[in-house]
Amino acid sequence: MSEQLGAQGAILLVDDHRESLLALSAVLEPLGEEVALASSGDEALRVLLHADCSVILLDVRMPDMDGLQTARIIRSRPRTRHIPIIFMTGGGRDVEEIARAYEFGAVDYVIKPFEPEILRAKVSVFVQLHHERAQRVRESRARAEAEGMARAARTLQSLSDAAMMHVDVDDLAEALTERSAELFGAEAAMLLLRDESVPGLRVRARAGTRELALEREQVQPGEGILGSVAGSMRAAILLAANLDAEDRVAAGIGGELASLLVTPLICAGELIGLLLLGSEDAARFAHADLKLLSLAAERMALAVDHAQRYADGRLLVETLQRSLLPERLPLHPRVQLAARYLPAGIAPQVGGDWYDAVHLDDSRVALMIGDVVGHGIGAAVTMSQLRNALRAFAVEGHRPGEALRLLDRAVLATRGPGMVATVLFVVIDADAGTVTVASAGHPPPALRAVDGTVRFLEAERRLPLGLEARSGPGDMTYPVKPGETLLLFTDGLVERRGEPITASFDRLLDALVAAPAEVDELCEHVLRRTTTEQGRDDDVALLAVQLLGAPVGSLELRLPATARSVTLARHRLRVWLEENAPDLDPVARGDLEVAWSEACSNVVRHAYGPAEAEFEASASRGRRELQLTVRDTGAWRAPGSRSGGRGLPLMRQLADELTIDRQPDSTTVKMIRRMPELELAAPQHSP
Amino acid sequence: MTDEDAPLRQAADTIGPPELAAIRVREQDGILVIVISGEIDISNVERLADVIHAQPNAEDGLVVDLSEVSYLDSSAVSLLHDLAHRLRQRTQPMVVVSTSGSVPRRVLELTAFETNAPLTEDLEAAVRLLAGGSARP
Repeated sequence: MSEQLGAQGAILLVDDHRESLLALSAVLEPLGEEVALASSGDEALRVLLHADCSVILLDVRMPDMDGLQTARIIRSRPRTRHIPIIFMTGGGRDVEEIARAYEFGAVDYVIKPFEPEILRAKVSVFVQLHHERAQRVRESRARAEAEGMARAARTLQSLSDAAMMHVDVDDLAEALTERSAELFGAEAAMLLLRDESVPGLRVRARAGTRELALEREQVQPGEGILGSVAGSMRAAILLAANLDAEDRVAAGIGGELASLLVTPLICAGELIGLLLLGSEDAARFAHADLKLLSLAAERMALAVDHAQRYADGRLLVETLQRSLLPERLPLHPRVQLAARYLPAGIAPQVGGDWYDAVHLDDSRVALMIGDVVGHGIGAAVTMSQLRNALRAFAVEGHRPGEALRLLDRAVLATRGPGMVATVLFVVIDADAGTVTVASAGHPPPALRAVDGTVRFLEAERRLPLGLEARSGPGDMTYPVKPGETLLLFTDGLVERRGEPITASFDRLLDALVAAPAEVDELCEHVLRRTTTEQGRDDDVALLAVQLLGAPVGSLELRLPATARSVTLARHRLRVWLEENAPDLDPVARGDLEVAWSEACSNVVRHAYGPAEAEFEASASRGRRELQLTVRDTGAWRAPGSRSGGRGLPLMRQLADELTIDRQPDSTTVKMIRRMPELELAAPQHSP
Repeated sequence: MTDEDAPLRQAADTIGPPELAAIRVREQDGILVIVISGEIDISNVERLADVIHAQPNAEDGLVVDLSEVSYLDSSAVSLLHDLAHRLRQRTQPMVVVSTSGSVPRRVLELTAFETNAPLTEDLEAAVRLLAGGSARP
């Protein structure tokens, strides 16, 4: 019925006389409007429950419920209040009745018998008004709908933009959460995503000015109210007012937040996340938001899934790469080592560059670096085989040329031609003061002298592995002095597309001449100066080695005030103690390492001003004691909150004597550990 | 979005210098076990803290296993202290595993760490302690 009458708006005629209704219908027919008939007040009210009427003609005098009563009820209902009523009175001009009719909301009245033309004209005015009003409503609805669609399109675009801009899962999660909160006017937002390490979904990003306090940082599908929405895979609006206390706590609303829009993120039929938008306003989220957000969630889910897969792949590649490089460089008493590996600047893949260092004895160390042509798992496996084989030849004590000859033979025998790899193999002998270099098609290492001059140490020129069977020693030996630094690298460091190779070597030369003395810093400096962020299309591996003076007498270090120097100083002390205090028990050795580290850490924590701040650390052995000294060039300040104030008390407990000498321009911390007399420390010399 | 649409990643971080310490995390009977190996000092403590704080909430307790740590100093003690403090606020128990006679054990003892969380000799003892509920603050 509402379908038949509702949309257009009918004229409702109410009269208890059937013939009157028919007569009225006939009079109004020329207007071309629909007409609804009711023979009592009750029936009129029933019709009005379903129909939208443009005007009502109401007989005043009817049995049971008269016209005035009926009009009062029509006026009292919100849905019908606005419909104009024209009363029809029979015979006599009862002024009082007309007055009451207006009182009850009449807009006009007619007296039976009525003049058809006039009645038609009066009714027509109201019908016209109704049509105009209906038109306005339609227009404003259409406008709202258009605006809603435009907003929806903007929202989707904005979220898609965010999805496209970020490839890192955390960045993406943050951007999506922030934007969703903004777009839907939420005061709090949270994104939960699936996580390898825990079952279910875990909080990954938050946004907004109010806190959405979940009971736990995670949601299990099917468990609790959020879990059941997640499990249903359909978006839902939760109102704090409709939830019991337990659900309110589980959903994190009820305090500052009155409503929560919960949207599962689904990719390929699988639940991968949950977006929560909370508002202080219970009426903030409407059904339209639910639909829009569900649509947006599809795009978000796709982006998140993609980013997670990308991250997984990258992690796998990095893990594999790390496993192919040495976990730690050896601590050697006579050399200081540092290394860097820089993957190619493109999407995840395993590079074919590698390096390694082997402690041969207390005088000699073997250094290897190589480059397998290609990327990916195949190159990585080859590289791992080469590295292990060469390591074995090094440990066996083969000289570099011989080791490469054996390696070449192994490659030719097992893999046949087709695999191309370059390798550089270097042995440094500190006691002899020599460096021996063998190369299979690899760029020569650079040697920087103490005075800063740099030269490349060419070995006999050889083809890469797998191309020729070599004979003869094939290596060359050069002198090397304490303080000199040898840099081994792969061609990713020097090669740049469209540039002559000589220009690339010149750039490396310039970088090396100006590099800091400390090997770790030197690696950083060289990388910074020779590689660019964009356009690096090959891996880079770097291995730097500095020859140290013999570790007898005292240990003297001068280091930049950086955190890495603390590690370096400790490792140098460790090596020095092994050489110079072999009689020291392990506990005492550990104590000295800690005390020395704490003193160095304190300098580093308080280093301020120019970045080149340095500090000095020294260790020496007297007849009855070991003395450790750390000296910085700033005013001493007590260890601050970052060490929790534990550094200084520790130093006091670990050293037999601790003195802090504060001068205006420097502070010296001196720690003494008493030792048995030196003569007693060497029982093997006793008769 | 296909793979081809993915923006090329900017130059990845340098790998190396080889890490001073490594972290492994696993769950054992509802207990989160964080095993650290290597050395901890001022140069890597913040990175370790980031990794540890990114771990999910340890509902039934947390074990920090230092038995493979060869060296640590006050910066690590501060990290453990903060961690114990956080967990205490959530009334979740924490136990630290450290072998007697090791450098870490000595540093923890000298800094009276046991007032923050119990120390045990091995992982089994730590798990037993948590399962028994006596480590709950």
